Amino acid sequence: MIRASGKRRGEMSPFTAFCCHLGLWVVGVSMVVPFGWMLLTSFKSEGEVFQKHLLPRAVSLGSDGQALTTVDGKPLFTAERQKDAQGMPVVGADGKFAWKPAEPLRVRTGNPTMDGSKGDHARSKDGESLYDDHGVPVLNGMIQTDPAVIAAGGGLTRFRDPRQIAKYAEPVLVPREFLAPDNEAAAKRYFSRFSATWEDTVRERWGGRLPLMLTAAMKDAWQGRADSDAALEFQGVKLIDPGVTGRVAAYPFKEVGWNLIGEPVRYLRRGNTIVDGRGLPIRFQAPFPVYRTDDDPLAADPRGGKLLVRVGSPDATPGTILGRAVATTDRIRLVTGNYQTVLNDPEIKMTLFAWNSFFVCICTVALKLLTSSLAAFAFSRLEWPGRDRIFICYLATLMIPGVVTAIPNYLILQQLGWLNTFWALIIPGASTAYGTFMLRQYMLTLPKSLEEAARIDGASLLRVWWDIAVPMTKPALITLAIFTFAGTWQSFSWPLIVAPDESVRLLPVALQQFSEAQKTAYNLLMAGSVLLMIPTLLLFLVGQKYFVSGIQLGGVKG
Amino acid sequence: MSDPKSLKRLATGLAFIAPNLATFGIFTLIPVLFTLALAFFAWDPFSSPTLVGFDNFNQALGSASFWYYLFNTVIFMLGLPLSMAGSLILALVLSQKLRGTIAYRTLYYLPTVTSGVALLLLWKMMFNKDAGIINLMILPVLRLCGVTCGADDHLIIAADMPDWLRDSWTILGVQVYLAKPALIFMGVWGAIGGGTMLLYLAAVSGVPPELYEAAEIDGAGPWRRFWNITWPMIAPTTFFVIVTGVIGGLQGGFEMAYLMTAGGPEDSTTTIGYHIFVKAFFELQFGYAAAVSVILFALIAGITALNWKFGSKAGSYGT
Repeated sequence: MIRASGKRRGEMSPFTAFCCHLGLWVVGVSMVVPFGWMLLTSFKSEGEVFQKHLLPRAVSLGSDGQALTTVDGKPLFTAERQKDAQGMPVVGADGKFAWKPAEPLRVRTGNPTMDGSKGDHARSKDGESLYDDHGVPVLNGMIQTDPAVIAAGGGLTRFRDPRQIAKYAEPVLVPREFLAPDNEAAAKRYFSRFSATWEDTVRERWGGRLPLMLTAAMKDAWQGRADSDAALEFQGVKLIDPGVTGRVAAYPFKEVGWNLIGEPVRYLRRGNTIVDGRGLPIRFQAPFPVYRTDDDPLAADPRGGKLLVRVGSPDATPGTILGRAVATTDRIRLVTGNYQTVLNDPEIKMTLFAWNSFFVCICTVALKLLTSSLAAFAFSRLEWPGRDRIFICYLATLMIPGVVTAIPNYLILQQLGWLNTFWALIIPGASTAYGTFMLRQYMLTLPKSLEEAARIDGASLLRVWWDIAVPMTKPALITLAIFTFAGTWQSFSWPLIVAPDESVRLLPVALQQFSEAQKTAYNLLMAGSVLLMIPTLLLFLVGQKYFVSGIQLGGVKG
Repeated sequence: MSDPKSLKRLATGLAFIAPNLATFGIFTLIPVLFTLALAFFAWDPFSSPTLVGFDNFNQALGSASFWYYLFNTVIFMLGLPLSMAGSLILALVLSQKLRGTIAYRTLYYLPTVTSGVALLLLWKMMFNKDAGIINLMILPVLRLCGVTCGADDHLIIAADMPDWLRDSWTILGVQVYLAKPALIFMGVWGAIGGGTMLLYLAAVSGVPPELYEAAEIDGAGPWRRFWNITWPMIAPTTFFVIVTGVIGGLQGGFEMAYLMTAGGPEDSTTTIGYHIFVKAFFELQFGYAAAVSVILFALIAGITALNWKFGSKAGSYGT
């Protein structure tokens, strides 16, 4: 039911009004849902983003009932661990966990969700995915491509490129015996199962860096600090509490992964407080592999005050709980964790790029207002030959598409040596035909008398412009400023082309590159996007009437 | 012109527009001419430019991909009438002075305020196959409809859900890439409550109420009142929206393609605008890219001229 008149409020039937409201409401909801979801996602952990809903049963579930995912959040098609009647994993004759393929193995053509570029599953000849001894899928391109190993339908996952470890390898839980005085020997013994030599192990697993292993002396030092807040630092990992000596994992991986026995491992974020059974706070500076137990009532609400954690060990007898710690997660920190990560991460440098953006925006706004206001003054308040013809030329250029001028502009900036400088970002946008037009229209409506009085008093034209024209066109200037700021803040393609360098990179470009680097860290990406949106959103909420009048001015009079 | 007073006036006027004119000349006027010239050269940054005549144009117009990109561009512009219709309906409803109009208007304008990279990345994620909200919302519906998959009786596995930005379906023997309708939907979502709606809102409330009163006395129903009064009265706005929409639509698509699909799958979301940027700034074929942008410019100018001709008729028709 469409009625075009705005005056007949009394005649609208309640039914029509209801329909109108319903329609408006539905559209409104559709506008809000994406933003709400964005906000929600920005508070989640990376694992939470890709959970549950769409994961097929063929994806095996970890001991906490949650689907295993690869580090970048894709569901992991893998075998299931055999369990006995009590639900405990079955240990085979060889002392290793017994695995059976998740039945029926619904990996019809390997893993359809695996992105080939990142390493597809290695497949046996009959098309089934291969798993290593631990049930971890063997990925192409990252294993030793020994045909014999593949033909056998198994083989250990060996990473040739240490950098890939961070992406695909399981987080390493360092077994308890490493903490013994002869820990190095124990480590060598343990890892000798995977690599030919200890050096190979270190190189392949940790990219040449040793994992955290505590010597007896260090352990003592640690014990001595039980109640202090000071941290023991070793290999970049800080630990505080003596109660956790048996549960240390040192390698800072990303948030979700699986450990050597294929159990899911979740990290608490940096800065979360974990207290042990005695209630002593444990503060881990590095991510700490930890996952919920399935029988824990407190685990139901991961954001709640407490979280029971269990830490696994690759060498543990199945079902063994090495230690229990009750983790109190600092609610605020967890909720704002993504934002803190985005803002503080030295890799992302959000703060620097935000300052760049602000600087460019402010300069562009100032220059645009200045040039347009002066020109509009000349076009509206001064009489000079050729004025209107030049003005028409100005207007005509509004039709020129930006794509047409982009290439020469790039070449011009290159000639000037301005590429990757702030000049390239500010100067080409320093004038605007649209703004000039808008201000001219506005100035035309001002009374001539004020200006004439000023002229009679002997004021120069510049004074008249500054003292009379500028103050009186304030609303139009504010409108133009708001539009310019919002436009510059969001501009992407031009900065991407002329100033991609880090020193002058603007926030939108940074966000795009962050998204390229992170691929599926959608939680961080959304946190960054929310941060990016805030300035323009605030500007809009504060200056809404200018937005509306600006658009309507441009359209109706144009 | 010869008398000193008018010369002085001219000098003053020029002085006032000088800062504007300088940047304007360097970054708008010269580039247009530059592009025209560049289109006849083969120029990459590693060798000196050589004159090649119409080769660039021939290369562009003779390649099937160029026409395919143009086709894509036109397909994406199908969002324009959709969003215009939506904006008009919203404007008409909002002009009824219902309660909460301002709040609705603010809400609808949100996508326009927050447009750009953040929004495109948000939509990219929403279209994600495994975690996107679109699939999350579709899944329960499919389950309700009893759609199941394979041996599994109650689960639809992720692999069977559409990957909106990558998949294609064969419908009646025609391969349809889902990315196109998905991105059009996204565009309409973003544009429906934006500037167009505000323009229509201003236009609709600018229609003199006496006209409606007179029509009502004559017994015209709401439908007739809309077609015979509102529609002709807002024709200038419609015209303006079409002109700017066509100009924007023909050159658009770069950010969308670059951020969300990289022009894929199989070039199905590559528009002319994206093509030009890729050719110029990623493949550094400045001459060829300039030629394509000249073609685009001609196209825009031609369509705009047609618009003026046709539009001025439509405008006079109503008033």
